[in-house]
Amino acid sequence: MRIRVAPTRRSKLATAVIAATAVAASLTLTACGGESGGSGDGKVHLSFSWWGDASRAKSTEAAIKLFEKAHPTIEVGTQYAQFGPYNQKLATQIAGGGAPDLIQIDWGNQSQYARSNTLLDLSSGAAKVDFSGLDPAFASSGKDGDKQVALPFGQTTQSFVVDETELKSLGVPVPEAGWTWDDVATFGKAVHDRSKGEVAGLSDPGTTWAAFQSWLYQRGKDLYTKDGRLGFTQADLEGFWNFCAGLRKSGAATPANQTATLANGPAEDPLAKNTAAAEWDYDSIYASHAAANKDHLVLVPLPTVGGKTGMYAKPSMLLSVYAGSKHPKEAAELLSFLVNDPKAAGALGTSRGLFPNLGVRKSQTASATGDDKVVSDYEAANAARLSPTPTAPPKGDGQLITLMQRIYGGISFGQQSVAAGAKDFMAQAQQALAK
Amino acid sequence: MSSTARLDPPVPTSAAPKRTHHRTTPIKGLADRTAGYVFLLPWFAGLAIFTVGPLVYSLYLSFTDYNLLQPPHWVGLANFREMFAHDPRFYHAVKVTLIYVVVVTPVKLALALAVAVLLNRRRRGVGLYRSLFYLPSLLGTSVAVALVWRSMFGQGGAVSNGLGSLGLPRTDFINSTTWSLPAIILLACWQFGAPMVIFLAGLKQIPSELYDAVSVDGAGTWGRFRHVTLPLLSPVLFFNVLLETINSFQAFTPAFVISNGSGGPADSTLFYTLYLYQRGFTDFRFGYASAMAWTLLATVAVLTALMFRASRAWVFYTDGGSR
Amino acid sequence: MSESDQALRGGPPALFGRHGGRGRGRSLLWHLSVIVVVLVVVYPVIWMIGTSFKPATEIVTSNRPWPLHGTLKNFSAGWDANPGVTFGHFFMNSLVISVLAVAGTLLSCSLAAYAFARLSFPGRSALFAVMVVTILLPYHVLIVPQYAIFKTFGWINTDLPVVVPKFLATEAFFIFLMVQFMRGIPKEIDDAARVDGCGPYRTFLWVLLPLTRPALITSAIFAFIWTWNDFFTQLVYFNNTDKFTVPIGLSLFVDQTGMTSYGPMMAMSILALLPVFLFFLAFQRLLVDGATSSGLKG
Repeated sequence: MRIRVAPTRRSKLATAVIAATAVAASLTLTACGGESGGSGDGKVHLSFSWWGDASRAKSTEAAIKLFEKAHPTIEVGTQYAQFGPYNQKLATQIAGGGAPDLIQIDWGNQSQYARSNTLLDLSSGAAKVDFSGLDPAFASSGKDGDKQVALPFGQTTQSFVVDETELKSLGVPVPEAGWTWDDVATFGKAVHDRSKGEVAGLSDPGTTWAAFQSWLYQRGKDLYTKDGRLGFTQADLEGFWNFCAGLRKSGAATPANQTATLANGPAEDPLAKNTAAAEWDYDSIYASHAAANKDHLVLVPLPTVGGKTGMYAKPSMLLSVYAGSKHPKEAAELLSFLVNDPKAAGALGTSRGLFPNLGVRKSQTASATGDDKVVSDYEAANAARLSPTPTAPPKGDGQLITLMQRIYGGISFGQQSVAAGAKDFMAQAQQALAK
Repeated sequence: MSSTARLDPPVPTSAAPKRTHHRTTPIKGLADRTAGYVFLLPWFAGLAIFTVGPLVYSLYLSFTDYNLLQPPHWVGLANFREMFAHDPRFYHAVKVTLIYVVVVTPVKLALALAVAVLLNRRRRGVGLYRSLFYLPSLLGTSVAVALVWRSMFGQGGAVSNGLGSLGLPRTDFINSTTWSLPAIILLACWQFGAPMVIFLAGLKQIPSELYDAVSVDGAGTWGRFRHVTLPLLSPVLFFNVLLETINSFQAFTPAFVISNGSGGPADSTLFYTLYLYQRGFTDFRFGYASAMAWTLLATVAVLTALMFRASRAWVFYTDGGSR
Repeated sequence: MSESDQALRGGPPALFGRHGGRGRGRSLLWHLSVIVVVLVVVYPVIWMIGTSFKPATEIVTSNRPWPLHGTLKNFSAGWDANPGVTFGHFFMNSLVISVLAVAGTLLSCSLAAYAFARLSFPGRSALFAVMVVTILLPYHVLIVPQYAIFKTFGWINTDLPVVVPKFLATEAFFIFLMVQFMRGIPKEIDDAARVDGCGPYRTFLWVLLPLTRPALITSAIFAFIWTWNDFFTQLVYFNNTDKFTVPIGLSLFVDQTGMTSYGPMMAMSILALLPVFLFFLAFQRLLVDGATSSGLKG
């Protein structure tokens, strides 16, 4: 047997490719060697991480540029990712000791991070921030016990996003402030009937944990007690779910399969697909809804019980200084700039909700246009209807949000009864909060 | 090589099992022994630096309560006890994953093999066809693919409308507790490109002389496939079966992107690794997630060992050995 | 060398006859059936291409593959979506790590595969088992300890955590793949080389490696594409915008708490598909002949 080893044309090509990659490899590897260290320029290098989309990246980056201009000795490197992966990355970074100096956190995770001593106190010590310009009650949403572990990076509140164009064409009036849950049922049924069943009045709110919170708030209760246990009974949950199930069965609210699309966010939900005329959401999400809809959308306050909306000023997201930061003072300076400075407000816009500093917010509201104006006007009109902001949810809150989706989802797909589902919920929720 | 070799039993002469042959060859010896380690040097380094540590550490974590933010503390078998005795979602995730493994592995491989055989010839345009069949796999499982799938199989999507025009019931396959898993299974099968390419490469390695030989023997199309293609492809077939099984057990991304990480609706697409991910990174229970990971590893390791053992009966290595 | 040249030269006969006058009719039938199957398989991709030209409000409400009011805006919006850098920058970053991943994988995995497939040394079976076990653990529990390792090395936000492991054969999948192919090569070939005086090193380089070409090409294709599409690893190790890669860039068009830009996301996904498609188209051409023509004749 003869073995032919002379290279053919094709293997020459392959050899060339391999050689080229080897050269490329050596080039990049040497290039990488040069960028370590980095503090030789006498500047403080801060890192700041947050979640959001590319368009939010542009406004945030613009604000950072303004900060760097005002603080020539500080250089800020930003890191961003979308919400889900962001939390995974942040947890990985903290576990590996490489978390950024300034981090944007979700209210639902605040207690988890705070209790694990990963966040510095912002009211005193190395990372002291002046937040006297914020509404004290709102600022205390960033407290864990006595410790100010975070400051709100934007204010949002609950609302119904309503498709005005659709309602006009159906001849159904847009609901008005002060409406009741009975009105919701009537409204939903009217939309369903007038559209011959094509459009539901609203997306079924039964999977929405925060909608249940407002429902409880209107009745003088809350999701959690002060010591982080469940603040409601199984009967309360059954009351809410039975009401939602009634809406769904009458056609006033969306069927199970459409409700499930709420998990995909504003771009693919029933409102965007024109299968529902209204949807529970935070007003800070209004712009995303508007972008995904051809129709004109308006914001309507939540239905009331005894005149109470159960709405409150909620931090859309918060800022914290990482306990392991080497530059807590500079991180606090950046934090202060982002929640207080009018220049920051100008660059950031309202993609995170209303600006935290009240004085700056006033002037920002006055000059708002487009979607920003819709949201600012809505907040201004409803400021008097807001209930006090509750304390931060206990750790485990994130699990309850998905638990709500899962169990009510199962109920609406006919897998179990409301009573059985509520019983399961209570058991699993208590387990999640105990861990 | 004798080209008039009789190919019944279905092993070409050179491939006839000579199990002890190479172990006794005198040329082998010290040179081979050291050479073996030298060739493995990069792998040893990678194993030592990047793999063994994390592997062992995750085993340790499976016996701890670890929220990623504070140091882990030892809890013994508590995670495993909770998993097996008190966690209905764990069993649910196992069920979903098993259905997926049992359906996806054979269907995907059959598709891959059929298309590979179909395209293993020299015809004009064959390269383009191959690339087009591989296109779905090139996409990976990205957000874009998830959007396509949701749009095509969701309410009012192309598939639902197609069924409607055929007089069948219009169905929302994505947001259904019955159809969401089949929709993801279909997505996985659609991306059959990787095993297809491996099969193609395997087919390319079969010497054409062997086909000529059986043609002389008067074997037909099926005979050629049965007596030449299958036995000579068996190492590659074994590889694909084993790896697709392992991959299916670890299926994560399709469910993750389609349901936005929730495994919904109502847990109908809660895959094992998706649940593991939720436990680790959204519930901050990384010890529990590690326990799940090692349970999976143990299960799949046993399965892998069984498949290796079974492979002795049907996989023919032309180098004369068996593993 | 074109495909038709090879047809004249004659390779392995097609499994379904190809001789004589019936050839043309059969060939037409073959092409027709393949095209039908291709269309079904490729339909979702056609849908993606169409969607990339749709304006935002048409994307989730319309199901036709082609846009009613076509627009190129998605491409420009997607290209410039991120602050300070264009999508082109992400393409370059992805290209560099993918090409390096190909080089690293081919180099390190072929060495290891040769040892496992052809050399005998104490502990071979045990080490082979270890190699297989490293494929079995879900990646998500490894990422945390691995991050800590790379952090200690000071490698975060560089290419090194993605590239260096590839040069050290950590992707056992490829080793195993190459082992299976090498074991499909008759042992007599090595023995002949040895009789000619080749040691294990020269046998590997001049005999085994050329014969394993189909496996090497397959590995090259996979290493490139999988690195190109790998989101989770790159997400964790790359921090700054100028280090972002294509999968990270694509993920940023969607955020449940912010804006979702499906149009630009589709447009960039289509662009991202082009390099891998071309890479595959080029490399699959190398998949034409293995042992048959370049190896054992005679």
